[in-house]
Amino acid sequence: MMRRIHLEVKPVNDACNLRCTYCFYNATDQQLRTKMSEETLTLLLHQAKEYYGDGPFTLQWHGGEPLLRGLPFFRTAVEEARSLNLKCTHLIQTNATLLTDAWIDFFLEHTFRVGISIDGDAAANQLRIYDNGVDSTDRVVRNILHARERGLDPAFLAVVSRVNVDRPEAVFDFFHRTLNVRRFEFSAIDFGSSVEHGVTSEEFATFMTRVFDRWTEVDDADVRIRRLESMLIKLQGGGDHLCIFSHDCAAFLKVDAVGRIMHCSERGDQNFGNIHTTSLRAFAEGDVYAAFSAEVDAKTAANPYCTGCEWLSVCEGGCYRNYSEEKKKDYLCDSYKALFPRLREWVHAHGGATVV
Amino acid sequence: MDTMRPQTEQSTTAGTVQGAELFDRLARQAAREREGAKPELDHTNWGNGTDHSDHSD
Repeated sequence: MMRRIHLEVKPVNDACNLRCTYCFYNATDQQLRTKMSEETLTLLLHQAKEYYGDGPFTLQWHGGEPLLRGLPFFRTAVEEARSLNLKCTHLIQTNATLLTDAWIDFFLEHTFRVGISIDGDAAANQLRIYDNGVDSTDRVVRNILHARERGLDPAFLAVVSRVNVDRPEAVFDFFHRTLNVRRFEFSAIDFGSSVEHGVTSEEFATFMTRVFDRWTEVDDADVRIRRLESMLIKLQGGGDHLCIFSHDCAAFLKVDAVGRIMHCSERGDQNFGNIHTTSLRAFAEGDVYAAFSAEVDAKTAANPYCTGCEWLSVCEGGCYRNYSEEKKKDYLCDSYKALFPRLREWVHAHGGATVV
Repeated sequence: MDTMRPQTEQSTTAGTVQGAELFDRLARQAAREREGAKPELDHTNWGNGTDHSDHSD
């Protein structure tokens, strides 16, 4: 059976107005030279119609910083999607530095689901700086609080790095109390790729364990910490909630500003083509994508770390983007192996049952 | 669920039985999904991918 692809769109490619010191996109062209044209946008939306038909789907606008593409572009996107009768939900991931009332109005009017990237309070967020070195925290927090007052309900994405890995409770409390938000997620900077800013798998496990402790201590059922929540539901026999713990990793594709098609991981030579020459539907049904999907699906099959692991049915081999050729596994594998027993113990302590 | 592993361990960690409301929500969500409810698959780098209305209790 063909898998149904999930689409991320990069309207300004990797360009960003911040230079977060840990960001892998700092190694790419950061000048705003490549913007998605309205011609490419129109083509993409028509191909989305051909592929998804009358079925619902999401469009995740990502970057770089997608707000750099400007509000008129997004107005066009919404209007064209509506004229094509696309059953499309728009998601957008932003650093919130450019989040004005006009953007807030637009997001509210068109029911965008907004994700904001911030790593915690000022101490935790100190690596998120402008290209002149100025810290972005004050402006971003002001914009977030204003957006919250206006009725926007974003979710938050925090990077765990050297500067916040020892402060999980402070980071949790910042989101929960200071920003008064209920949905957040944590990802890690790989120590292997950044010795200066990265954290080890063991450190990430400790961070997430302490976040888990705070989460259960607060015991606000509305607070959702996606990675932990996904693990806990799957441990109890539930379904796949998160790409990295799912069978469907290969389904997450990107279309960049000039129409190139890529997998989320951007690993290796992904000569997947361009929507200007290959439609999404033709790509999704073609041999190139079938071969790539098989490669991703097989990432655990020949891997002794995975095939003999009791947790495989829960983690599904982890993230293909995080897959380490050297270690032959997701570089966060050891952190998950440290977390799962703790989460299982918690489920059992509450009288629940688990699949492993 | 014949394959489910029931409680077999006694908690040894202080505070491990915290989070009753949280457990209740997640356990009910997992139960719905065991019975066939299909969750929305989310991407770890997409900050607001989940439509939490799908998961409301």
